[in-house]
Amino acid sequence: MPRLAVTALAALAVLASSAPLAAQDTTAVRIGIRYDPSQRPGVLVLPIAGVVGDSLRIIIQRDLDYGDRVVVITPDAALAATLAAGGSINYPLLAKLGASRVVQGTMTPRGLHVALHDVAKAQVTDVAEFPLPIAQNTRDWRAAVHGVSDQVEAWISGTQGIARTRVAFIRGSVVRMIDSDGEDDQAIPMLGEAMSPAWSPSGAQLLYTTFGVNSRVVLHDLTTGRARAFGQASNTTNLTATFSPDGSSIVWAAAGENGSDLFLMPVSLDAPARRITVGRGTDNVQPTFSPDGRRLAFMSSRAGHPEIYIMDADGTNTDLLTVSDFGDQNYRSSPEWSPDDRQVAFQSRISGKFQVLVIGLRDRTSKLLTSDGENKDPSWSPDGRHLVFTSNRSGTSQLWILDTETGRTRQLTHTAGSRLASWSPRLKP
Amino acid sequence: MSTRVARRALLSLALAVSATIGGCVASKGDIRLLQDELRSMQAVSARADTVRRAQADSALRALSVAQDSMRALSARFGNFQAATSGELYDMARQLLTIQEQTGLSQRRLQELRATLEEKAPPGVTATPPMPGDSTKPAGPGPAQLFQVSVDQMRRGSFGVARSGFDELLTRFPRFEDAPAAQLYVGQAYAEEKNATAADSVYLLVVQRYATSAEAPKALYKYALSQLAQKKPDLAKQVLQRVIREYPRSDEADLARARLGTIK
Amino acid sequence: MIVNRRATAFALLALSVGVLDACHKKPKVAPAPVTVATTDTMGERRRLDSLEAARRMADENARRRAVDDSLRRANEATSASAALRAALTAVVYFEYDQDVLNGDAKAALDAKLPILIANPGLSIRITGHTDERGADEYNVALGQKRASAVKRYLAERGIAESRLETVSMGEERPANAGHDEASWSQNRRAEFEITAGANLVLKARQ
Repeated sequence: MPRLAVTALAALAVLASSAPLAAQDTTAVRIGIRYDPSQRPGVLVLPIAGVVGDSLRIIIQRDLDYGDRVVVITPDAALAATLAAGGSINYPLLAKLGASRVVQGTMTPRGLHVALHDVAKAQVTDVAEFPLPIAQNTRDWRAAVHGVSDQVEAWISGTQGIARTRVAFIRGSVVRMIDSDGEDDQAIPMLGEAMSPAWSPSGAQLLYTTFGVNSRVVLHDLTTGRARAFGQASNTTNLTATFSPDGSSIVWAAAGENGSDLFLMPVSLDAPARRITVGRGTDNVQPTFSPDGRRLAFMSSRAGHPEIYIMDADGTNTDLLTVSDFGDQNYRSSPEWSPDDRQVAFQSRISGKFQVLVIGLRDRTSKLLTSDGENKDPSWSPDGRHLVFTSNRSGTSQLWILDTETGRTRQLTHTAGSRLASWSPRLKP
Repeated sequence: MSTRVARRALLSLALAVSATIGGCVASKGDIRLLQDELRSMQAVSARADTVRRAQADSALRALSVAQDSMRALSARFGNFQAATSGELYDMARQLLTIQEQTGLSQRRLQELRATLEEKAPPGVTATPPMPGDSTKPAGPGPAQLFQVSVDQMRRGSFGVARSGFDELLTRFPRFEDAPAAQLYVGQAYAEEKNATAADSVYLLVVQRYATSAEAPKALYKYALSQLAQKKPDLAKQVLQRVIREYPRSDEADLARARLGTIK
Repeated sequence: MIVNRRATAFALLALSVGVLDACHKKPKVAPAPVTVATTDTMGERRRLDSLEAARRMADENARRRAVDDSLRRANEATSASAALRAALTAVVYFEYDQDVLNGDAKAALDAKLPILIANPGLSIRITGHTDERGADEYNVALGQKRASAVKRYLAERGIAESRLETVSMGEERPANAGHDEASWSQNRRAEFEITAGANLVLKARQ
């Protein structure tokens, strides 16, 4: 019940603010595909009967809206009630409202039964029953509902949604997690002052590093709550750990007496760490794997200032990725390889402020994605379409989400000091 | 029951208020809306309490009927479903095609470059034919062949990539990136889990292009391959050779670090 | 009270002296050692007591002077030690995105050297900090580099590396919370903390 109330409040705020739908953030012209919002299918979620029906409907509507692949149509309650009066769907009226798809949810003893209607064809096209935990409005229950939304999005667009994901981030030197819709901002127990959370490919573990005295890399198991730490050595600061895409190894930066280099360690922690960069006294941090695990992008100061490089995962064939004459102060950092293997998101200083950009891996041309305030530390959504990043555009450091296709942005966190986000993979039921 | 509802409502109000304070976003209007929500929820659950059992029974019956009809519907319109989702997939495919075309236009450029390489006199081309290239080549030039093969490599088409690099090496043996092409052939074999072939190609790089930047890379990759094949003694020897023969290369530095981790 | 007692003592002293003088003229035979206390023996004891008291007073004064002296000397040493401590923990500053030690930084480190050399029981922790402008994560690496640059400078001048621990806090602990160059320049720094020998009275090699 309390959760429902909070959800309702959040939903009201969202519905009020989402009226001007396409808040453009992009200033650079994007080459390639650009979704015309008017061509996104209109989707209407019918009222769902039952005590939690409204919660279900609000969550599914919001998830579909946040997915940015459809336009969610929200008629007023009186009108909505007439759309499926007497058990029959009023397709002509739905068509008039601009809906091409209709989501019909029905509570069952086991969970939620969902039917997707094609309005033009006046037919049901997809049906499935989704089990829901008995305890309503719990974390697991909401995750299960997000799973429903993601499947509906797959039926409509052919791509599974990203509602059932979380974003790990830092606030006050503590790793926290927040659901993709901004719900359930919670901390995990820390072994020291933390930075740079990163998800395991399974979504079951989080990596982070601690700084200051006794700096370590910590592997936190979200299922058991247990943590394993490694990398502790005198005069050494460990930072920016990441998993290889197959989950078998961890690559991170160890900063010691002679600059910082990237090291690789099997996730079993049963073999010595191997150095894989040749920093020669410079700093080499922020590794990010290509989706196939064969290459790594990272930030290096080897040229005298921070730039982004690419190398083979074994440490050979290092090559400059970012174009040196882009931006005003020769400072590019925080690379994040896109899940579709086409580009790398990063930050570059432009007119004194960091902005988020992407650079094509093939053509090596950069595109500016942000311009409002200072924006940094991007992380890709598992669908490779959205980026979560840190922005001070609201006056405080908050996490924001950008749809790179439409330029639409939304604020994810509402507590100051949120930063260093890492978007989870799609989480399993 | 009613006290429980009231307690829940209070709790939710407190939570909502704290969320409001934490979020600093909700206006008084939002709070009023929330209060309205809570009141209506309270009323609804109170009412629901009395009629719940009756409702639940009838709802369950209705639901099972609805489910059955849904299943029937879904079965009956299974082929329609296929048709509509087919439409979606067509759209998705079209989008993919457009995506591919942007890639293709890049390739078109390279083809143009290759055409230039063919037709223009030496000196004008991006990569002029080498003295060793006796016959005027037909087809793509070395730069294009190289790029296309690298792309295949990136896409995971190792067989295609390998034949591209092989063709490049046969037709343009003196192309400036020939050592890199040869190294890629070895890497392609390695990706295809053909360690024996990969190893021999790595050694070929060292033998053919001993003074190129690719030689220490090939030698280092050869050493790692030996390690993966559980031949630590041979791996050690090769790593020492990298250090000895290419002392200033990045791979020598990696080799030194790596030697320390082998038992 | 003390004054009263002293006055009484002086009165007794005067009286006893008078009594002794009076007795002096008598032959000194048979002072009768075993007899009960007479006025005469009483006077003698008083005399000795008073002499003892006088001597004690003199000793007390001397001791008091000695204590004062040593306290003064100790105070001087402590304030010297405090000054040395301040020099040892004086902050060193850096340029933007640099871990190079400039002239001021080297001078501050040179002032630490004689203290570290003269007090082998001292160990210090060097903590590198950055301003807020770079990438949060890279700044942790930069802070570590700054701490390492300081350590290298001291180690090259004879301080055992085992006495010099390096740590980085990146941009997480600004000395000045402002967002301008004046603040940033105070935040790009290395700080010093005594980790062993904190209760030593510090000396400096001359």
